[in-house]
Amino acid sequence: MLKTRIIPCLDVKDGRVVKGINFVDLIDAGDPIEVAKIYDRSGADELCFLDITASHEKRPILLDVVRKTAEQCFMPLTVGGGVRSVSDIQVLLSSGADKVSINTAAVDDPNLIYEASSIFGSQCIVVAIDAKLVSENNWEIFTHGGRTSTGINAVEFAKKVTSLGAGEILLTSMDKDGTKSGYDNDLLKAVSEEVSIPVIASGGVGKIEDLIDGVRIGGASAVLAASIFHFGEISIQDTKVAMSKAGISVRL
Amino acid sequence: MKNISIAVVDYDCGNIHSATKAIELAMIESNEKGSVNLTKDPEEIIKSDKIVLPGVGAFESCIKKLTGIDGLKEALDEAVLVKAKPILGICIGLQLMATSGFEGGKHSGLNWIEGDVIPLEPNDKKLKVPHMGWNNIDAKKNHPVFNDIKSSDYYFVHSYKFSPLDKETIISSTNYGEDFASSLGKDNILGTQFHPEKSQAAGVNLLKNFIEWSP
Repeated sequence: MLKTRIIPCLDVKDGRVVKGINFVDLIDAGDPIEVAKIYDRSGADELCFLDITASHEKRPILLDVVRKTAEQCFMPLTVGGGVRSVSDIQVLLSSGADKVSINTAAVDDPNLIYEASSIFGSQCIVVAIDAKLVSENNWEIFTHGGRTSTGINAVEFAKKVTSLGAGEILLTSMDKDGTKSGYDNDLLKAVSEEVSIPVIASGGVGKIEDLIDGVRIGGASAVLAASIFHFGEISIQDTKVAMSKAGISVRL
Repeated sequence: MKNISIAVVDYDCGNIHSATKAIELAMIESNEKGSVNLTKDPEEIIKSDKIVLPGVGAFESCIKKLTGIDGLKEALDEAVLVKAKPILGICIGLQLMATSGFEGGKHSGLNWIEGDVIPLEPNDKKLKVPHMGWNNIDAKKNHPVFNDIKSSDYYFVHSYKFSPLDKETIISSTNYGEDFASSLGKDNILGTQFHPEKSQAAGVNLLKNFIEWSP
């Protein structure tokens, strides 16, 4: 049986992890490679790197981090931030990323999804959707880190990128992100019921129950979280045990 | 003890560095000593003791890339079919061993294990394709490469499956709305639909067994 994936997400800026990471046995909490190794050992099912500076000038630092992480972590690695072209994807994949997450560029030019999945295969093309509730049951996509409204309906866009060849959707609720009040399960459900590809829940996790709800209510195939894992508030293993007790199949 | 050489076939299909690194780690943990070489040189491949054919991507583009490298297909055929060197295909590397692949039209494969690569079609419509994530394998027969591995969960990411003509080639199956072959093999040939190089301890253990395997 396929297991629900638990995915810690690291925000990387200039090659360093930002937002606090607070592990007891971590020598350098800002070193993404050290953090990745700890997650590898603690049984994380995948890892996600988000390059929040995301500019071409800074890309070489990220590539170096990706390369070193891939050398030491034997789990799938998704990398995102500022990916705009087939050549951006090519470079990240050849540096050791298993999947590349595309956000703004997918909205600007949905054909990039078709092109990229034709060349590299759907399995490595993740479309990251940042959505905000604008009216009842209507979520709109925002790009450029949430600053630009697009007028595009998130559910319709998710269906569109699926048909263009996306392999997975990383769905972040901008209303919930940072609130620690749980995922937007209505949004998750609306998207996961409409697309045939896996949906990763993101934005809003404050406790283990939120992860369980994302799967049970939201229908997510995978759950992503940042701060609750980084601060050591909740361990990956405790999360998995709790999810398993709740009847969700996980890799223990 | 003789040093063994393992050739990881570099044909520009996906994340071959991960495979190389995982095999290097497995080598350190194994009873063997030797080298792991990422190469597309036909001569080096024929001379090596063992071969790993990794890969991520679509059947069509991967078979085209492989056959597009001068002498590579001939060297692989010679090494695997004539010299009977142990080979491990991973994901698309396994799928390329089939007679034909049907991703992006019908394309000829290496035809080492007779069969077709066809779409996964889980009969539960709620199941997503690609089949992505950790799933367990059920052994269909004993194979030394699967000995003494604690976990049966491995990382999968694929939308197509290998459907062999001879079901005896199935070493393990996995359920995802249907049972499909998650590893196949015959004689010196072995392939996994999952990614041992992404499957943490279980995967490294499997690679270690492959290094120590003498079919």
